[in-house]
Amino acid sequence: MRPIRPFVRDDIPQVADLHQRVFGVDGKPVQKPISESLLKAYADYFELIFFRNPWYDEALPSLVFQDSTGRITGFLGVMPRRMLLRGRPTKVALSSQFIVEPGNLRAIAGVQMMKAFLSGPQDLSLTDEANNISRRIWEGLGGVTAQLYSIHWTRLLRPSRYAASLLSAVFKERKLLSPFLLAVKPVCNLVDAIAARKLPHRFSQPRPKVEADELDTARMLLCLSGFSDTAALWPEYDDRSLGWLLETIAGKTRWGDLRRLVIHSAEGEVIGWYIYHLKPGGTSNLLQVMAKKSSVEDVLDHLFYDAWRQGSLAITGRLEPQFMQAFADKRCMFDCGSPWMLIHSRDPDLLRSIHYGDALLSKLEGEWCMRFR
Amino acid sequence: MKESMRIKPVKPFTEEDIPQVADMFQRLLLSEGPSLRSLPTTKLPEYFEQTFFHHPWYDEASPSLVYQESNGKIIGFLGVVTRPMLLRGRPIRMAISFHLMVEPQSRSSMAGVQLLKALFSGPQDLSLTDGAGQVGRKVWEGVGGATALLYSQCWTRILRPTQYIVNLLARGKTLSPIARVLSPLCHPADAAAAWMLPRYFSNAPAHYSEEELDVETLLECLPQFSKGAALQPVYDDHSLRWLLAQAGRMKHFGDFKQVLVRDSRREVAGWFMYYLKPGGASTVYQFMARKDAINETLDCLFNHARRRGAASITGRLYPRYMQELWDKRCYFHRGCSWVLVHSNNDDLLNVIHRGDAFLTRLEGEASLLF
Repeated sequence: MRPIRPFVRDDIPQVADLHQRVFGVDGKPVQKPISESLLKAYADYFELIFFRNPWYDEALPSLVFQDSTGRITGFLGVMPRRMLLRGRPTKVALSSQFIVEPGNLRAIAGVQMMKAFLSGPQDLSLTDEANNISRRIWEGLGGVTAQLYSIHWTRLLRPSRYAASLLSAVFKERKLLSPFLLAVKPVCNLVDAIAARKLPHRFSQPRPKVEADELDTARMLLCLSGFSDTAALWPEYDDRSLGWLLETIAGKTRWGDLRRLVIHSAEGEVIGWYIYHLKPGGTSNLLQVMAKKSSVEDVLDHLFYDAWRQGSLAITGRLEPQFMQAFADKRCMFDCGSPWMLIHSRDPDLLRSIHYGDALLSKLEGEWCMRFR
Repeated sequence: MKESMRIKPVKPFTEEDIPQVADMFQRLLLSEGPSLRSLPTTKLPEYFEQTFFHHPWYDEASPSLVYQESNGKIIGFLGVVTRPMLLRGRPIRMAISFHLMVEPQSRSSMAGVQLLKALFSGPQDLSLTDGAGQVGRKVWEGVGGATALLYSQCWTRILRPTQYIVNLLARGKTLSPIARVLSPLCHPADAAAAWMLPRYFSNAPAHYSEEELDVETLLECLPQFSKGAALQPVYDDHSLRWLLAQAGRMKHFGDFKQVLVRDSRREVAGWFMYYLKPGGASTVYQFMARKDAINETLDCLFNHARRRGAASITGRLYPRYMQELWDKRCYFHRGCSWVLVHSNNDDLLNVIHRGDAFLTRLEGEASLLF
């Protein structure tokens, strides 16, 4: 029996069991026995993401690792994607949900599955939420870290409430402090309001000079096509694939409502767009921002204003390298390191475009849609 | 006028040009006051002579450049210092360019662009500048160069939080009175913070020791520690001694510290060189550590600077240490100048863009400034 083989629908119960044992659900260990509803959620998730995605390709399957008895002890989820490298079609394989059962053979199983994945027919292998262990395995097998795309930014919108939320996360176990933290909330609101009034250049979100409209799938396709000369490596979507992607992401309600806005100038010209998961009272997550080079500050101003108006304390996202200076000018803080974006390709031109920051590789093109919830 | 008689606008910088260039330098680049320089302005001619004609790697084939008008008046300058590097063990030449300046009334002449074009067509394998501003970046990219985005990131570790905040407040007009009131509280508040949050203010690791870093040891360690990088610097005793003497001269950055870190087996775990500014922001010149001792050497650096009163310490990102710096609670920002590169060698550019080059401030313009 070969230890590594393609993932088939019949494997879903075993892989679901492995997933919840290794990862838990929402970061917490699962109570045994697993409830019917959780089992169904797993089945729906694996079916939707790995068998019913619009790019499904039998030649690029997800992989399972089985021991000599046929029991599945490892899983590597794969989703094919399409991109264009200077207009040339490029097959991308996105890997996610890399799970190996703890035990003596963990390292061997992990390395073998990764090796099998990287030797597939795709032009580019990519993962963008890797931890340090995956990074070591990936690099050991000839892959590299896309360090530029492993930089994230955070923009504080309500600094004192953000600080208080960090404190309450740190002290959540100490119940005695909860009344104190509750009492602090109105004080923080007041401090944020005073700071915005007294130091408007640092703490207020000025009303943007540009206008925004709802960004539907058809319009986004037009935008993507209109901006496609912005970077050498560009995602390729059609109505079906983009519609599926946005619908799947919108279904991840744990991260908040999905806001999609297209930004245009007073003359009605499209100057950019953004998509983010809105978390009022928390940190929102940006999935994609694109802008004309000359208008990036206007688009970012609009994004921060929108997130602030909707009640976010902060917004975070992955750095779009070409906009590094604009993010810095808008007082974003950067963090570098895990989660890493890892890439592997035999095409030096492809690797170069990513290392130069000349690729649109936002969270839309990454593993975000492959999250369980 | 016959073609052969016309004065070429871009020509190599010669010692006869020093008075004109020094005058231009003083008017255009030193106008921000004495705090940004390490020497009195009377030393300018000597500085230009030493830095551009008597540096250890002087090469007539890659000279600094001046731009002159038809009457011979110099209206632009680009300083160039070439130095040897190794690309996967193969010797190459790197030209560091800095002090790009053009007379304001002549900027429409595109002198800056012409100077950069002339530089890029030189015999070196790589042109690099690591002190560029936003305008310089636009010109550099416009002439075919690229920005090394990874190496243009900086990190900062806050060492004395209260002092750090008070320094921030003191910068603005509105809040500077508050900073003055809070100032006497900084020392006790930071001491209390260090006592209450020992994990954040961890001490230098036990069994690690620090000693003065000398040129001989550095010369011995550099090839060893840069071995993993595809692009490495090459030094000899003369060049390294010259560079470090220059670095030590930059008193306006702070007091230059050179520290070697040894582990419990007395083996070299790493080293750091930085400009110490008690009460302010210290600046790292070079930080290197053995792969298995990065965290410990970082702890030594942070402790060294904190014990001597630094409120924070800042360095340019060396991509290999990205994770460790983040784990050690550094924050990253674009607070430093751009690192710009140009080469006709794709492999060389690729090495830099993916962060596989040993490029610290020691390899840049930091030691070559006035």
